[in-house]
Amino acid sequence: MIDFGIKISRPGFDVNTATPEQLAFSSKYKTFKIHERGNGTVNSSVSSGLITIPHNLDYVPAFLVHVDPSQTGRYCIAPYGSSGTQFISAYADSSNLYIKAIADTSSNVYYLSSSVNESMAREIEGAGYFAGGWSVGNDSSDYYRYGAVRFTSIGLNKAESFLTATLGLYVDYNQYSNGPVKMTMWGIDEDNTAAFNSGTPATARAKTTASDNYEATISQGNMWNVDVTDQVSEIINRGSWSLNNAIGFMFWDNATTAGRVYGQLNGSYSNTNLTIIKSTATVADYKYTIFKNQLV
Amino acid sequence: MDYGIKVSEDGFDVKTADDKNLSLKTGFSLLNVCQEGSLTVNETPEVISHNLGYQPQFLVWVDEGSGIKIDGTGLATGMDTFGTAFINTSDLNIYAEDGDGVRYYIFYEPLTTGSSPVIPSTNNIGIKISKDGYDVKTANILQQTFNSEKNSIKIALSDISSHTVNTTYNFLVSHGLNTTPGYLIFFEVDGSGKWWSENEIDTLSGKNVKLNSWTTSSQLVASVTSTASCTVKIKYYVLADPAI
Repeated sequence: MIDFGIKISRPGFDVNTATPEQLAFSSKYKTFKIHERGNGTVNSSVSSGLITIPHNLDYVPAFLVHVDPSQTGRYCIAPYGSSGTQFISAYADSSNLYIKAIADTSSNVYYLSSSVNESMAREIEGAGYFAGGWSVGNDSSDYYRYGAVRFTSIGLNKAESFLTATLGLYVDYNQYSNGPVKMTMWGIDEDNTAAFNSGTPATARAKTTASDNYEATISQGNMWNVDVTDQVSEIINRGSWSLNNAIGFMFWDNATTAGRVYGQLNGSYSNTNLTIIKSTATVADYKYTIFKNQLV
Repeated sequence: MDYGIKVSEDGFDVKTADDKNLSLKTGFSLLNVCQEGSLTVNETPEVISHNLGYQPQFLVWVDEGSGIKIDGTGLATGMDTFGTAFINTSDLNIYAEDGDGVRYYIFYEPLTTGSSPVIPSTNNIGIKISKDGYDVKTANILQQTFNSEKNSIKIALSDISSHTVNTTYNFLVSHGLNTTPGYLIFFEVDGSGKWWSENEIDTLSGKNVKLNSWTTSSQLVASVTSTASCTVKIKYYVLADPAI
C-alpha cells in the first residue's frame, strides 16, 4: 500500500484496509473523466452514413458510443451488428469522433423448380413451342430460338426497393460453340406469371417495356449472368404484384449468326438462378461520450 | 482556477497538469456508480431496474466460461442476442446464456446532456465536492464531482504498445490485481490515427482487423485477427473495479 496521496473509502469500509473497489477515490488510481456528450441520428443513406463529431482535444481520446437501431430508447454499446456484419461502428482520431452506419445488404437466390415443364420453355422457329427447357440462338438451319424461365415465391413486396437482380442462365447445352450468341432480355409483364406448361406459351406472353441486349460466348457448363434489375423492377411495380408471386423472363434471339445456340435441356434445371440483392438503410439514434482520457 | 480541489495522477505536478492528467478536479464528471452488482443468469434478458428516468452510462462484463468479456463480445450481435446489453430509461437489460456470470455497473451520468430529473441529494456524511455554481450541501449527485458515498470507476493500469500481427496475435498483460478486473481496450491499425474500441472491426484498413479481449484473475488478454499482416497499437485500461 502506498503511504502517500489520498484515499477515501466508501461508507462502512475502513480506509486503511479497504480493497480498491471499496474506495470511492484513491490518488493511486486514474479516473475516467467525461469531456463531452451528445446525441443524434445516423443514417446509412445520408452523408455516406458518416457522422463526424469534432472534440477539440488535439489528442485521441477514449470514448463510448451507444446506439439504438430500434429507435425505441434502447441503447447498446457500439459496435452494432448482425450475422457477422458490422452495421454501426465508431472510431476516433485526434480531431474527431466518427460514427459510421452501413446499409444492411442481403442476397436472395431463387432456383428453377424441379418441375421443369413449369419453369422453362423454348420456341424453335419452324418447330413450335416446348416446355421443359430453354434455348436461345440461331441453329445451323438458320432457325431462331426463343427461351423463357420462371421463378416462384419471390420475396419482394409490391414496389419494394432493391439493389440489383441478376439472372444466371446455366448453359448445359452448347451445340454449336463457334461464336457469341446475341439475345434480347425482357421480363414477362404479368403479376404472377403462370406455369409454362399451361395457358399462353411463355414466349408469347406480354413483355416488359424494360429490355436489354446481351451478347456473349459461353462454354458448356458455365453461367451466362445478365442484369435484369429493370425488368424485375417493372414487374414488381405492377398494380397487382404481391409478395411470393412468380416472375418470368423471356429472351429472344437477336440476330445471332447461324450455328450458335445455348440452352438447358434434357431435364436439367440446376444452377440457373435469379439473384436479388436488397439493401435496407440502417438508421439509429446514437449517444456518445468522449472522455478527457488520452489514448495516444 | 484557484479554488476547488485538484488531484493529479502520478508523475504530474498538480499545479500545471492538464485535465487529462488529473484524477480529480472540481467540475469533473466522473463515472460515479449508481448501482453495481454481480449475478448468474437464470433467464434472458436479466433486467436490472435503475429507475433514473433517463438512459445512464453503463458497463457490463460477462463470464461465458472462457474469460470475462466486455458486453458485445463477438460482434455480430443483434440487440436481443447473447452477449449484449442495452439500457433504457428504467432498466438495464442483459442478454447472456443461462449460467453465465455477469457484472454490471450503472452510472449516474446520463448518456447525453440535457435536462435530467433531479437526483435526490445524498446524506451529509463523508466528502462531497460540488461542481461550479452548486452548493455542496444541497447539490444532487449530477451536480457533484465527487461523493464518498458513491463508488467511481478507477483505473488501476493503463498502457499503450505496438505489435506486429501476422493474421493472429495474442496480447497478454499480467495485471497483478487480486480480482478479475473490468477493462476497456482500444486499438489502431498501421498508424492510421483512427482508434477503434473492443469488438469493432477496423473497416478502414482493408485488413478487417478485429480485437476480442477478456480478463482473468491474472491477465488481460486480447486476441487480434486480421486478413493481412499489419501493425496494431493497443491501449488498455485495467480497472481497479472488478468485472465479476
